[in-house]
Amino acid sequence: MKSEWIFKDYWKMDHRDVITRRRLKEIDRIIVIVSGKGGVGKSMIATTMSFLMAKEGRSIGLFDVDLYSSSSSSILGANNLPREATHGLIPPTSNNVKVMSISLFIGGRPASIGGKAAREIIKEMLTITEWGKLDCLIVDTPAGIGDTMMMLAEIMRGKANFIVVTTPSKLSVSTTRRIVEFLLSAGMSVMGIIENMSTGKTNKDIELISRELGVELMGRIPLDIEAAEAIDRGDLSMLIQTNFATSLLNLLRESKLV
Amino acid sequence: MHEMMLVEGIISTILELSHEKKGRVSYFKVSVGEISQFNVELIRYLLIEMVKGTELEDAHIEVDVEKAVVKCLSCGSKLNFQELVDPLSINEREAVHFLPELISSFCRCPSCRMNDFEIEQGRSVRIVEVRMDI
Repeated sequence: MKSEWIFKDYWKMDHRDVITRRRLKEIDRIIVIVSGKGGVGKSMIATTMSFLMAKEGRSIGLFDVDLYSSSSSSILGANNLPREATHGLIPPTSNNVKVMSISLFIGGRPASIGGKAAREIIKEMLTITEWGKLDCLIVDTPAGIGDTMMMLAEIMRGKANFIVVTTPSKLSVSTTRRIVEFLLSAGMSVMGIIENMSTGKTNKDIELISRELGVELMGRIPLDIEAAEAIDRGDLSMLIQTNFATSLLNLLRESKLV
Repeated sequence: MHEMMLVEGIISTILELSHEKKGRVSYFKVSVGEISQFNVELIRYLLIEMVKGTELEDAHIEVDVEKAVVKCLSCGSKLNFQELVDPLSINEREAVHFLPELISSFCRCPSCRMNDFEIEQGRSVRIVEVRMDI
């Protein structure tokens, strides 16, 4: 005997989920760059990584979900508003990287966005952005485990690989352990840890995290003032000649990302 | 405007739900939030046209407008969305159309001058109700 069922405001009725799933299917690989604390050079790594991979002939997208201190798009020099097309917004391309960031919408204005609003914005950006076919989407995130991280873990489960960036400082290393533990307990795939601003000495604490949690130490990127200067100037041709970029490119090759 | 993408998403979502529940959809209702600034008549037209040839083509479709209710979280005032966005430039309104929560970046509460808003209602397009025979 048939009966009538009524679904009202049912959680499975958010049409954005099906649209986002379709979009993510067009993307071969998603790499989410995270860190336990700020100031470790996560955005610099995310941006340079996307630029280097694009230079090596990959089709790359860079999604900056750091709503509060968005910097990736300005590092790459992407400033135009996304163009609206039938199936969504076309992200502007800069240096062969498709870029999407909240800063494209608000410019230099502060983003006064609370927790729930941040989740809605990220969900909406994933829904409306027409990335097309990509070899890799790199996601630059705000530091720590907040609403953004939770949102990404929820939406990209099974699809994303996380890379955790740290520096040798004790504070950074301790937050790195927490974020790796969180990701693993949430069932996320952690590709590895990158030690940025390395002094060259072996950091036993990072090696211990790597061993104890079974997460690869992908490599060490040296502290490089010239790279920071190149970023400040927005001079990517200067950037690719730095030790920072060379080390990152070697790391990408060893990890078979290029 | 990207109404077509939106309507495709709505139809796919309802079809997925009906397949999961193994039911036949007899009715569904979509609300178009005022803040989204989508053209309601266009959404209605696209829904009617795009369900043709699908399992939803015999379903009764209702589309209405959901009034915008924006609340200032600092002073509790309920604000008129249109009055908030009227002073904005075309680009700023477009930004709010795509990402409604950006209203906090462009506007201030006329009562307390803070910019901490919550969109209580009328945010975007959403599937409000689906009825199916199971």
